[in-house]
Amino acid sequence: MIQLGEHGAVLLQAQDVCKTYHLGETSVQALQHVDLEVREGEFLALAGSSGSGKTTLLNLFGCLDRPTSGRILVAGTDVAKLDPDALAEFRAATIGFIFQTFNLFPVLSARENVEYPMLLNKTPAPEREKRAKEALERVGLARFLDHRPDQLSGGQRQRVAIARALVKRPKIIFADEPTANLDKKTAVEVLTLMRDLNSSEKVTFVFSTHDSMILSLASRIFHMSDGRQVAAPETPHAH
Amino acid sequence: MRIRIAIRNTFRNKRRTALNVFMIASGVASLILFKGFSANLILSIREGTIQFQYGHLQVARESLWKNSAENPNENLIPDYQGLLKRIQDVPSVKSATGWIGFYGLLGAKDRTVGAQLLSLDPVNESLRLSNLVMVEGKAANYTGGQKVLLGAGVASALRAKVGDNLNLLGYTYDGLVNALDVEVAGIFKSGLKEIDNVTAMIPLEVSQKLLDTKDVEKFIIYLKSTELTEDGRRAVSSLLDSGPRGLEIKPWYELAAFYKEVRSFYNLYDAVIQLIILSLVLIGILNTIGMSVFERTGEMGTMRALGETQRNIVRQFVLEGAVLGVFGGVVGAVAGAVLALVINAIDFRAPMPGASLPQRIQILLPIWNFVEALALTLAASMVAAVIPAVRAVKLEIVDALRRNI
Ligand SMILES: Nc1ncnc2c1ncn2[C@@H]1O[C@H](COP(=O)(O)OP(=O)(O)O)[C@@H](O)[C@H]1O
Ligand SMILES: [Mg+2]
Repeated sequence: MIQLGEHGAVLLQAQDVCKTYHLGETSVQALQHVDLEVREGEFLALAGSSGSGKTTLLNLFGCLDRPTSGRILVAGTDVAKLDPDALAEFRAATIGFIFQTFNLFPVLSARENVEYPMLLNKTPAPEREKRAKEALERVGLARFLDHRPDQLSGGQRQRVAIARALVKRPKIIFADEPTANLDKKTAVEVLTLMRDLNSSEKVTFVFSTHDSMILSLASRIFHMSDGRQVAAPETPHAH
Repeated sequence: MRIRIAIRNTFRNKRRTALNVFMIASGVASLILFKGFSANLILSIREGTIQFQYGHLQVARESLWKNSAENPNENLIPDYQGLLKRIQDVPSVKSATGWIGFYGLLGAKDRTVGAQLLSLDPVNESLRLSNLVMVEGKAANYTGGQKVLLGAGVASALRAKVGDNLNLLGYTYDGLVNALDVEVAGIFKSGLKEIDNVTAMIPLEVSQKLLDTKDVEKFIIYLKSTELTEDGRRAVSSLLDSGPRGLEIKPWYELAAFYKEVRSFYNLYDAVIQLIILSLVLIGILNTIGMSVFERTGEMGTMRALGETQRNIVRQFVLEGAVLGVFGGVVGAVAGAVLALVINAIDFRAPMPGASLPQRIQILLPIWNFVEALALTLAASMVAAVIPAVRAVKLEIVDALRRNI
């Protein structure tokens, strides 16, 4: 499974990262001294049961949150050094997201949803439309360009979301439990699509899951439990 | 595309948007109706003031304007006929007439009442004459001769009726007491009680005869329209050098102190009412827009994850507020205009402060009122959007994203 040799330069680095959430009096240590390097071209899975810290780590890598201590480097940039606007710009240029709940804009058609990220970096309209169409064709939705999210199935919606993440040609795409809301068959299809894109478009993927079947598609697995890396799953995953 | 997104989001929740549109439209419609109503009120007070009280322009000697004459003789304009003729020939002038005003005593059988006796020319001031609503007698009977028109208040103080002969007493310019018999040709209501209680109208020749003079104190000049005031003023001014020395012209707006007060009162009153209407609109939509924004916190999280800055997100929501404002505003403008036309079509009269007769309610619809009403409600709906959007966008991205579940 671990195929480091095939991959390129280091893209993501977590160095001794801790993240503590405070809830009134109590505090939760969501991440404890996590070290992780991800190289260009990887198709990395974060595995672990619910509450193990997968989402927290993805959020830190995705520049959506800041670590309590330790350093996060994304494409050589120390995330802590960027202000909110610069972070937004950095995300717009470098990072794609796929969400468990798809998070498409309900009032926009599939094509418009895919166009949206290009609106942020001021791509001219004709090019936006062309690239959105191509991206949707790439994920197998050529016939659904003008459908609204509520006219699409879960698997189709996640494909639109994948096209939306892909269309701006990011260095890396983060996917937090991308298949948790899909049935088994669709889940495998969606993940296979991501895997295809990983090799054909040379995009790095980091995704989280607690589904062992999905894990088998990863190029590498980072096992987590209680906010730490663990060597291997203590118990087989139930789902 | 941003606008397209804003339009679609605006009409996402039909029921809520309908409610917002209704509130904004009601605001715009009431602003248009109210402003149109008060604009008409101010306009009719202005025209009433001009037509009935002052004319558009008045020419008199400096001493009369300054009240500085030691002897009332000094106020008289001698040999005025030639100049008056030239003024009447100015293109923007509709009519011009000589005028004398004096304080006199009107005596009936057993009563005597002091009154302001003002010149009213039956021919040159026919409009002014026709503005007087005769509660008794006919304006047509007031045709030269020793006739008088009594204000309703003066008439009732004298218990005088049409056809009665009254004794009119006054001081000549030489300080002698003189008296004449005048016949009551009519009893009028001008629209302003203050005037009806103290005023009587007589032809200039009768005043001149009583006061023993061939001169006048003023020219009263009526223009073809109030908009021509400055033109007329310039044209008449240039003629004054050819007449007797020391003449000075004053336009209606310098003379009509009461009108100025009324107008500034109504301006203040308008501002207060507008503020109230706008506050109601704002309160009405703030809640529903706030709900919509709050429900879309998760969407804001997604937008930010995709790389949208907080400022741009607020901007997007303000754009949605603007779309709502424009839509509601257009609906309201149409509704307001239709309502105004309906009200104008009905001959609907209502008593008004200071008026002795019910006045016809008219709603003016100047384009400016629409622009102002739309601009104000547009601003209100943008404010109603910016407040909750700024609050919601401050949430941490990860917390906002969790709202999508
Ligand atoms: N915003 C938060 N506030 C408080 N606790 C949180 C917050 N986010 C996550 N946690 C806690 O941190 C731990 C790790 O959560 P998370 O990263 O979501 O795990 P996973 O994605 O693996 O299920 C859990 O105990 C969770 O309850
Ligand atoms: Mg999670």
